[in-house]
Order: sequence, then structure tokens, then C-alpha cells
Amino acid sequence: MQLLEVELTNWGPFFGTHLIPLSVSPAAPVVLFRGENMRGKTSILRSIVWCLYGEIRAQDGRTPIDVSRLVNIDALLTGETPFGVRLRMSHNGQELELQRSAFADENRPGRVVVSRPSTTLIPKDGHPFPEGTIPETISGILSQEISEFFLFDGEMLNRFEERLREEKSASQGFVKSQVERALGLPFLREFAGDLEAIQTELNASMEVALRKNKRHETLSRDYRTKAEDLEVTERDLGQLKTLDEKLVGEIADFETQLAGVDEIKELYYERAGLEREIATGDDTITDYKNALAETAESSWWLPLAARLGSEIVQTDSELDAALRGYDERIKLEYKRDQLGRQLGDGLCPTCGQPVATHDEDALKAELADLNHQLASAPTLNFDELRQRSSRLKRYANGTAVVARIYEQEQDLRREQLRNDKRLQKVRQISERLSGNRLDIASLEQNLMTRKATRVRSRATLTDLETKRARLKQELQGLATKMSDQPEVNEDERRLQRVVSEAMEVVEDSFAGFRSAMREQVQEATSQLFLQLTTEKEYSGVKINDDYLLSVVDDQGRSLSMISAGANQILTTAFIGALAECSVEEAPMVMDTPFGRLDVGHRSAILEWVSAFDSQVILFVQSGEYDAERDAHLLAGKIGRQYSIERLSPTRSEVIPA
Amino acid sequence: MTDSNKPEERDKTTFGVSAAGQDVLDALSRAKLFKTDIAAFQAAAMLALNLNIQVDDTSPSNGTKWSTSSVKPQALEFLEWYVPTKTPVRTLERFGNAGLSHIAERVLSGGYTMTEIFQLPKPEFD
Repeated sequence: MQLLEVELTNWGPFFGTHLIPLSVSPAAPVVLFRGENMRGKTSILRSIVWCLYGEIRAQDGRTPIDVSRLVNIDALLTGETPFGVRLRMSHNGQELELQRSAFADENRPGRVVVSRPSTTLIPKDGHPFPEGTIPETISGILSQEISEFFLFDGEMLNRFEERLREEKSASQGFVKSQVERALGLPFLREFAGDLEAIQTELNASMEVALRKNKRHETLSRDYRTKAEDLEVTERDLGQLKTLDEKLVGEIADFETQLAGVDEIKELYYERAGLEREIATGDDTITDYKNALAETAESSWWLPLAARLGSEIVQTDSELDAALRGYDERIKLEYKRDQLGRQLGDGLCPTCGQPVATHDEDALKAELADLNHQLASAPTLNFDELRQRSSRLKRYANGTAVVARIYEQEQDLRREQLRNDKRLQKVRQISERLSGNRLDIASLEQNLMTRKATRVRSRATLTDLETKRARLKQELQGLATKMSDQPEVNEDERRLQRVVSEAMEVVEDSFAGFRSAMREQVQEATSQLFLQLTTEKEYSGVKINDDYLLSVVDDQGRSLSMISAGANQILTTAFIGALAECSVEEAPMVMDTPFGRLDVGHRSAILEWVSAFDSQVILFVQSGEYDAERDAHLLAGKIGRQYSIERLSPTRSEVIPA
Repeated sequence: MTDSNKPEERDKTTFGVSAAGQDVLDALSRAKLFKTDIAAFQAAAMLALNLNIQVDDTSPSNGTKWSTSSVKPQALEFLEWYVPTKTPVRTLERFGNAGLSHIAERVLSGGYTMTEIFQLPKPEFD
């Protein structure tokens, strides 16, 4: 299967419709998405999972995520909004278009209701599949059971790694169940169960036929005793399995609750951080207020600032005018003095020579006019003006002080707004936390107790399964003996033999398939591990008959302790091997898989990816993939490259890079 | 700008705030707009002076609150030449109470800044 394109509508941070082509060639099968955290990488991975299977789970792999949480927030603000995902893919030469969509409406803040869900699967140039058959069809392409080996993120790798590091029996059970998942053994198990039911019915019928004859009394009694013993064992096993399922459920619940505790812890941390910011903000606000109060205290005349400013201008202007008037007066007085000295003798008062145009009357008239001008000139009040100017100048910085106060008030207002927002967020978080009554210590204690109980019950289950297998074998022998008796109906005898042989074939196949698959997965894991590991003392990986997965050293010895880096690589190799062994071809979609690996292992994985000829979709962030440093490792295998850019906290877009 | 400088009137050595004015001072104090009541009172007086608010001759005081030494000497000296007056303390008291009465509504309703309460000019920025 290859994904040809995905179209997102109001999905995650992708507002509106976004079409992302994904088709690649075997020569360049890698689609690389680059984007920092919170841009929408995981939303795209989830869109593919949701479109294929109609459900998505949180990163713990168990907790279902309500699809309403993936609807774009901006789109929701417009009222009822359509959302969904359309996947175009090719499988075995056929092109298919799968579309899953619905409508979402936020009927009150924080509560989104999803309605009118719709799923269509249409082959190119063909008729749509009936809706009821879509899950089965998709399962035939890539079953949900094994999709985890192909569509995964860093968290899923962590989870696998944790399971592999669990105590021995739990880890073995996990490896065995994953190998069986990859092989599809659940189907064979159901078939064997059906054969057993037929066998039991036949045996009971034969026993009834023989019971009538005293000659077969011992055989009949033996059969009944063993059958009853088997029945009791089956019942005990059933009860134990029910208990085991209950324990699994309880363990999952406790783990989910403890995972929820992480969110609660984060909320506590977030609130504490906000409270610290509020305290700092309060200090800043107090500082601003103090600065303002100090300015108001020292500039007590501030309400008069504008008026005093005008008066300064006015007084300076009056002072200038007075100075000009004074100059004029001096000139007039000088002229009057000169004219006075010229009057009578007609001699120039400066040089003492007779003035050529001396006119006594005209001089007297001019003198009278000058005296009049001097008498009517305004009285000069220099001292008063100078004093006033000097006093007013003390308040000359009024405009600057007012500007400073205005700026301080703006800063204060901004800080108050910021703190109001923080307070509002704290109230929201406190409301969310108010419902928390989790007792974390009790939860952890309960989880440990349940896990210990499960280890014991699993041991008992193993014993009972061994006993059941023995009883079944003995009953099988007795049944063969019974079928040899002449009293048994010929048809029943033949049927008994056919069923018995069929059971043997299935049993042998079952064990054979599992064993072959174990070896196949072991081989693939080993090869991949050696390709990826940077530590040279390892010679491979072994999955023994008990499904214990271990790394072996160059002497062929299983190592009980390996480094954390080697464990991470072992996990990646195991998943890669399961994927390789499970289906012919499916795209490998990996979301931020390198975050926890060192540079050496990261390079090894990129080199491994570069050896693929089937589609690989990689979501990476700058911390784990550097184009300059790492692009050469993919050796021209990148068929498409995209950058996920954030337009706003609620919107992103995918841009071809 | 008027003042009733009656020849027989002598300046006061202590002065006070009206009951209504005290409520306004308390509100200003709660809002931490001023460090002291007297600073707020002086600002109110300057506002009244700026707005040419008509002041009563009679003292609206609710009793003694401050002595003259509480007031900034520069403020008294300012009033003396600016108004002008020979009884700057008395003038301050009257203008202060008048100013408080003028800003009472805004201060008591809360949410106003110093610029808004004292009607400071909005600066022009480049």
C-alpha cells in the first residue's frame, strides 16, 4: 500500500482545506515533514490513523482521544463546521479513496459535539464499497492490529521499550503476542477451537454408546473422569483468565489514571509558574505605582503644568517686549538730549560744527514730540518680569514630566492587563484542578499490588494450561480407543478420525508457524539491530523458544544488561522486523522517532531508511534532523519535502520545501 | 484666580480636609496614586487653581489634620506669589478641598489614572 495524498479539512491546526501530495517513487520513497513542536506533525499522523480506522489513541496507546479535540479551534468559532480527512492510496495496483468526515459544533465553551459522521471508500473508476464492509476492506490492506508497527511516534517506541524491559515473564508474553500479531495467529486459534468443540461432542456421543456395554465400563469411566477433570480445569482456567483480564483492565486503569496525574502535575506546575509570574508582575506594578507616586510628590504642581508652561512662554515674550521698549526709550532719550544741545546755537553736539539746515522752530516741535513719546511709553517693570520668569522657570520641565507620567501609566496598564490574563488562566486551571481527588501514592501502591497478583495468576495459568494440554492428550487417546470399539457408529468413527487428524495438523501448523515466524522475526530483528547499533561488541539478537528477546555478544551469550541506547535500538529493530515480516508492503510513518537517540544511532536509522524502496513518511523537528548534517544520509531518497509553518497559535500550514 | 485677602485675616498654622474630601483622599490612598495624603491634597489644590474653581471663604475643614510644616515650603511660597496671597495655608486649604470635591466622582468610582483624574495634558509623541 502507498499513500498518494491526504487532504485535511479543519483538522488540528489546519484551518480550511489542505491537500498534501504524498505519492513517491521507489527510487525516492521518503516524504519528509519538518516542523518545530506544536506545529501539527502529530495531527497529520493522527489524521491518517483516524481516516483508516475511525479512532485515535493518546500517546499511551490505550486512552481513546475524542475526535472532537482534533477539530480546528478557529473553524469552531464560525459555528457548526465540517471537518475530516480524505486519503487517496494505492494497493495491489488499485487506487482507492477513503474519506471520513463529520460536523462539529461547540455548543458551550469547551464542549464540542460531533454529528453526522460519514465514511466512504471508493475505488478509482468503480462503485463505492457498502459502508459496513469498509473496516474489513481496510483491515485487508493494513489491519489495525499491525498498523502500530507502521504508524508510530516516539512515545510508542518508549512504550514498546518499557514493555521489553518489564520483568521476564511479562516481557516474554509481550514478545510472543507481538509475533503472533504479525503472523495473524488469532485466526488459527479460533479454527482449532472449533475443531475441539466438534471433537468433544463426538467423544460424548461415543461414550454414551459404549456406556451401555459392561465390557467398556473401565474405558467409559476413565473417559468421564478425565472429561470432568478437563471441564473443571477449563472452568478454573476460564475464571483465572477472567481474573487476568480484570487485572489487565485494572492495571490499565491505574496506568491511565497515573498518566492523567502527569497532566495534573503539569497543570500544577503551570499554575505555580503563573503564580510566580503574577507575583513578579505585582512587584512590577508596585514599582510603577511607586515611581508615579514619587513623581506626583516631587512635582506637586503637575495639574498646573500646562498653564505654567504657557505662562513661561508669555512671560518670556513680555520680557522680550520690555527689552525692546527699553532700547527704544534709550534711543529716544539720546535723541532728545542731542536736540536739546543743538537748540539755541545751531551747532552739532557731536562735532561742534554749525548745522547747515538749522531750523529752531522745527527742532522745538521735534523735541516736543519726543518728550510726548517718552511720556506716553509704558512703564518698564523689568525686575518684576525677571523675577516672575525666574520663578516660573522652576516648572519648565512640566511637559517632560507629564510625558513621563503618561508613559509610566501606559506601562502600568500593560502590566496590569498581563497580570489580569495570568489571573484568569490561574482561575481556569484551579477550576480544572478542583475536581482532582487523586491519591497518587495509593494509585501507585494499587498498581504494584495488581502487577504482583498478575505475575502469580499468570504462573497458575501456565500450570493449568499444561494440565489441560495433558488431559486433552489423554482424552484424545481414550477417544481413539473408544472409536475402535464395534459399538461405535461407523460415521462417527470416521468423523472422529478426520477431526483428530485435522487437530493434529492445526496443532503442528500452529507451532510450526509460530516457530518459523519467531525465527523470521529474530533474523530480521538481528540484522536490523546490527545495522543500527554503533556498539561493536554485539553480534545479534535472539528470540529463544520461550520468546525471551535478548541481545547476544560476540561469544553468542545472551546479555541480561545492555545500555539504554542499545535498548532503544533493540526496540526500533524489533518493530522494524515485525513490520517487515507482517505484510508485503505498507508505508512506514514515523513521528519524531529520533528525539531520544544520540547522533550515531540517529544517523544509522536514517541510513536504514535510505535503504527502503517502499514509502517512508518522516516527521522531524530541528532538534533531531538537521538538513545540512543529515540530508546526505538519506542519499537522494527524499521524494517530497514539506515544512510545517505556524501562522498563529491555532493555525499552521504545510509548505513544499 | 481670586483670593479674599482680608487685611484682618491671618494665616493658619494648621489646616484640615472636609469629611467628603477625606473619603476622596482615602480612595486615592487605596489606589496608591500618592505616597501621602498631603501630596494628594496639594495636587487637588493645584487642580482647583488650574481650573479657576470658585472657592468658599469659609473653611470646610473637618478638623485639624496637618500642620504647616507638613506642606512643601515651595508650594506655599508658590501660592504666595502666584495667586498672590498673604495667607497661602488658608488658600491651600480652600483650593485643596475644592479640588477634592471636583475629582470626587472619578476617584470614588475607581479605574481612572492620575492623568485622567488631574486632567493632565496628553503628551504629543513624535
